[in-house]
Amino acid sequence: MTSPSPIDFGSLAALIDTDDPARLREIADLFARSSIRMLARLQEDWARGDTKAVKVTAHGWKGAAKQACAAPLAEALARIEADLPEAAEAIAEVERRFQALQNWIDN
Amino acid sequence: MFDKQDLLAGMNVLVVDDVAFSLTLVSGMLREMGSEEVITANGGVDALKILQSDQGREIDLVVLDVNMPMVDGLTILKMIRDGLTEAAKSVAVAILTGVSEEQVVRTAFSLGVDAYVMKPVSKASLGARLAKAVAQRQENRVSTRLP
Repeated sequence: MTSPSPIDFGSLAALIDTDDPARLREIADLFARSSIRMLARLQEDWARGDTKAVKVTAHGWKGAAKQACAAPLAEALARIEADLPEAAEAIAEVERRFQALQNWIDN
Repeated sequence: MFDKQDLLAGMNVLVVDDVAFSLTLVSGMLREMGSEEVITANGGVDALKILQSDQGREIDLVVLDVNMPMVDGLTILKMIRDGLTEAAKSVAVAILTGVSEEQVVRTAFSLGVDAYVMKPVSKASLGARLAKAVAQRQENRVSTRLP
């Protein structure tokens, strides 16, 4: 079974009402750049032991991931919110999925 | 003919979100739908400063995220409706969020939100919901002025 694409460009095209590949690519790049900052924020929140901040950051990033049609990343972020005591493993999964998204954009 | 590009024609909008991607994407959508000016606030603290500034007096619509560090969207909504500034009292406010909990939605409406929009949202749907929110708020303003 093949894993889902890190970003569903078909759904994204419908959401933002464009079929211009350059515009879609621009939005994917924007999401990836913003995600670098969100990952750093999430890691800092976790290192500080601030679970409330971890939840807020994961939630905000999840909303952006949904709007970017990046479902695999959004699912991993939802897991952090759902089970904070197990967040360390969930954050590691977010890091893997974000890396997969970046590789996909770069190729 | 009705043109979706003009849904928000002439409006000054403040967009408040702590995630850079969401701020940029939503601002772009609003500009494409004819907004006169789109001001962005990177979180609640920033939003309050803007609303209390000269720039804040010109705002027709505030688009608010709910979960933000320091000052969240529902707190800003309450401050606006409680009369943060004279101009802000009558501004239209829309929540744009991934939060779907019924209690949060109920609280937002009890505080006087004009639209509650869930992410992800299409440009067309966002424009229609925001335009309706502004129209309703303007109607309320006119009806409260009538003798």
